[in-house]
Amino acid sequence: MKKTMHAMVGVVLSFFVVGAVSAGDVASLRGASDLTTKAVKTKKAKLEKVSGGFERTWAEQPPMVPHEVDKYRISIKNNGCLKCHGAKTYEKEKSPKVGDSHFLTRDDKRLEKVSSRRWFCTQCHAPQMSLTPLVSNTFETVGRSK
Amino acid sequence: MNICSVIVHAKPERAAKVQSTIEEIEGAEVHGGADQGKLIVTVENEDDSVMADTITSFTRIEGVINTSMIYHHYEELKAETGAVE
Amino acid sequence: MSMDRRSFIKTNAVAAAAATAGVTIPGVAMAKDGMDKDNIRWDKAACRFCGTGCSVLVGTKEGRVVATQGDPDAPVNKGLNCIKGYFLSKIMYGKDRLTQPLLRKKNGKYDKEGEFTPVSWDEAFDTMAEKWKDALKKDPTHVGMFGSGQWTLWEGYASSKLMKAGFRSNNLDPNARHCMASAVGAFMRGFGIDEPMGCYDDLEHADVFVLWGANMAEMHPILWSRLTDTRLTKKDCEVHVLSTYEHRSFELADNGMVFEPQTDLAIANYIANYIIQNKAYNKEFVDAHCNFKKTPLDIGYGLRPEHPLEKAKTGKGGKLSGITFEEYAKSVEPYTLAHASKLSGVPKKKLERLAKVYADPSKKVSSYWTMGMNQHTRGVWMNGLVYNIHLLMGKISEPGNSPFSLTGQPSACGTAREVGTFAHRLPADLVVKKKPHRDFAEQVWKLPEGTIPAKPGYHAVKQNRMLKDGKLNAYWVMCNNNAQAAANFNEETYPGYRNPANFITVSDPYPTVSAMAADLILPTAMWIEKEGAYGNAERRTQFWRQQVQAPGESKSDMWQLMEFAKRFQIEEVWPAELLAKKPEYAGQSLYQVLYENGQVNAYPVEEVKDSEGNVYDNDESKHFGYYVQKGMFEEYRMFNSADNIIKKGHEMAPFQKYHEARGMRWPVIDGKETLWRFREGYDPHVKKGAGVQFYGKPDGKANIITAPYEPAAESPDKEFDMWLSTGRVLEHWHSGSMTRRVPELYKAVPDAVIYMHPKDAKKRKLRRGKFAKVISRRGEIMARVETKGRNKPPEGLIFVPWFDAGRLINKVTLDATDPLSKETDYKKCAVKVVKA
Repeated sequence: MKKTMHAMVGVVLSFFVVGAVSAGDVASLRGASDLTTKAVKTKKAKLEKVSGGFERTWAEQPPMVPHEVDKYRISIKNNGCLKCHGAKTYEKEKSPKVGDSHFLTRDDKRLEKVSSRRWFCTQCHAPQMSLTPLVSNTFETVGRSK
Repeated sequence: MNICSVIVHAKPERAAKVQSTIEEIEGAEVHGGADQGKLIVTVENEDDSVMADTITSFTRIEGVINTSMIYHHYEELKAETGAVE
Repeated sequence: MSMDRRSFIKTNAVAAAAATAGVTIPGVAMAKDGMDKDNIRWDKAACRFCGTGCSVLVGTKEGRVVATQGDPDAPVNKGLNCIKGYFLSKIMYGKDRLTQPLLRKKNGKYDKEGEFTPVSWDEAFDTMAEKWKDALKKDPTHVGMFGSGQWTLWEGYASSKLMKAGFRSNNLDPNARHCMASAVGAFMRGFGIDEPMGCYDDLEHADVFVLWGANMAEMHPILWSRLTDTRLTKKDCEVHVLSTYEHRSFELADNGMVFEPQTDLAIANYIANYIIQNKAYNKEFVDAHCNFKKTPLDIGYGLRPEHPLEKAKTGKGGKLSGITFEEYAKSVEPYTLAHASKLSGVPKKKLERLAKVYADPSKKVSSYWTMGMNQHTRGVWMNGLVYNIHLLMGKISEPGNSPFSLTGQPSACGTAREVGTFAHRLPADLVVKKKPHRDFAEQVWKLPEGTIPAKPGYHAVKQNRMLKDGKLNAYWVMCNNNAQAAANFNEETYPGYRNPANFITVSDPYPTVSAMAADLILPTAMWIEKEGAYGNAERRTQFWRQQVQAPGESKSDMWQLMEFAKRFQIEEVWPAELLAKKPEYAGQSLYQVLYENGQVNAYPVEEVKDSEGNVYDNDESKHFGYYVQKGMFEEYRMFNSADNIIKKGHEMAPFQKYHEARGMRWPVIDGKETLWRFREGYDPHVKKGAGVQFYGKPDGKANIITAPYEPAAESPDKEFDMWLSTGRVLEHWHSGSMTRRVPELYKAVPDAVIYMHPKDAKKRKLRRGKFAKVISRRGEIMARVETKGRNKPPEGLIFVPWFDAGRLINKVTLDATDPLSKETDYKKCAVKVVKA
């Protein structure tokens, strides 16, 4: 199967003479696509929306974002994420509150509001596209998550 | 040095208020857990009986269901700044 | 790492309660080394990704990593990680981990056109050694290695020794060539000693931050978090961001500036001119601590010699000559506000605001940069122009006043630069072309005089060219994915790897693009599957213990290097005249000469234990019968800490100290680290009463080196009408071979897209989310168009990240380099974008 695919995509680019080589059963993240082809076509994916949010795979993992984020901006003055997830708003908005760790400063002082070292939420939290991973991952969650 | 840690179970809707009440008590410090209604609290006092009173006083705060002491450590310190590890 | 006793007990108390209650208090709950309630063993390790050098706590259970979290005790990151750092727990568990050597075979024999077939390590190394011996017979310059700023310190050290002393080939270069070479060049020219004078503490001390082309929000997220904290909590703190397109760091910018590619040269010169015109410079500092120099101009673009641009150049190299302050002032005079604004396209008001903060003696300014300035055909010049500004003002080497070259890779500083894996270098800033330096290295290594060749080897870009030209025939790529990373894949990289005259070995944990282009793939133990050490951008050296076993027959790079050395008799690699100087080495293997030399093998195997008494594996020590990592490190220390060293200033502590600490910043003198170099009171090397002393230079003075604006190698024209800039994204590390195998990171940013201005898309009838082709004179790729994402290029420029193996943007990029640093300019070439 793989070999016939190679024969099909083994394009020799005109400006140099090296052709495609077959690889046996080994494949990079390009899958069956030879290194000389222009690009691997991929499906257009939609955002994954999960009510109740994504499960964490271990206790200290930052949770992934189960909704669109494009319309929420973060700037020097405003943080769109905290409009729902902030300490004062989460109950009204029925959203999960930002984690307790987020109220600690670099020197472990507890603040009333989210520490500004955690101001840019996207450094740790990202929405997920509804896609099957290119290769699966064998990481195993052990008992103590959540 | 005399330190202990306590889990304070509180009604979830009162947990934030319970936290601020505890934080006003001398020697008590809340480390988290309000989200889940299980406040992780440490209490420090050189006098054991004062410490016990402090812990008992938590149960009288409105919204607290119960308290359980988890860990207690006492030792004589030569110098307060002694480093470990 | 030391915590006072009270906090230690309190942390334990909180951890116990939190564990019982099932409450997670990140940074506290599992904040200590040792075993927690769930029988998860926690131990520190340096993050596998960028040059920030965060420390993470790794949780293992039953021989597998089950969790990672930010290390609360680490001064760098204090419990924080970025999204990649948090997901370190999964990088080793991609289902397609390589577990045995794979050799291209046809009819049971090695064949360049054969298919990858599982073989034993013996067959793999036998085949490889035969090819290496054939190449060595021609000349040692026919063998080469491409290494890594992601190697551990001792792996880099072992490779440098193997290549330069063992095989007597200086054709060893790290991928740090693509990353930090321009920064290195500027440090050596300006200060005579490599690496930043300041440290990350400047992030809390500065009043003003200036980002020169760096997108710290995505590329150095934890440093960005510290910078953000300071900006949002300190009164009157300002952030200035310069870039060729708008990106996430602009979200915090008080003064965001988008400039025309390459005109950063003009902007920096304008600031220097402003400072001089307004007599704002620190005359006392400049008189006492600076020399003025000029550098040759019109030096070409590091392309192949037959390229028209190389034929047209009139200058060459970087030999400095002295000038006066007045001559320097005159050289920057043309860079008026009007001129700089016109060239760069940045409004005058914004440029002037930037110049003013540098010129204000009451404001502490820290400048940060990475690839925007390093991957630049005038990268060494540009790094220097920013030092010029800081030197003119005396804003250097003290808390908050810091020109700071951020590092790309986790150990570009430690392994590539300090250990000396560059084609021209030896450990601790020594260079192959200086006889006293070679002599010293040969003495330390107990080798005969004349072992190390004097001529610098092929640098990264030249290695690919020489592979294509058939002058480099036996080649080993280790701990990097250069087929994806190097520019101009179609014309240089791929023809080189597939040249029938060559035998290419790639060592990697995963089947990367480079592996697929190779002839032999060696399965490699990664990160915490071995004992390791990295050196980060603030000169901090950090160690970790081996946490888990590597899968199948995977072996660490260290094991591979040392085992491969066993396959060569010294007579096969050294000429008789050389061996005659050390007849006692006759009949020995290269392994014995290099590693069983009474130094590397001086330390017996010991039980590796943490402070809680947990015992860790050390597969290399077990295999070789001595404490390999300790032996390598202690021998390396003879280069930076022995009494007779040639260049002071790189001192390190003994091996065991680093296992106990959360890293230490060199120079480490009497067990104390150094935060700010060259300044009395902070740096013990500065003479009493000197105040400031740039001791890397013989006269203790730094160089202010003038250099003008010169155009880029390739600019947009009528046919190829747009700039292409390439780079990284937050969620993926470099070529994505680890992070794209983590489901959460893959699903966060699955494929590379073409970031472009909506008007540019409209003009070309391209729609957001649809495929388009990016075409240059060298090749083309296909990707989806993005007009609304995190990066907002101006009209006329596109940004395409390079992490995606599915669309190799380096088929499009140009292999133009800075002629001084030989670092590729990945930020500028001309392309057109059309409908797919």
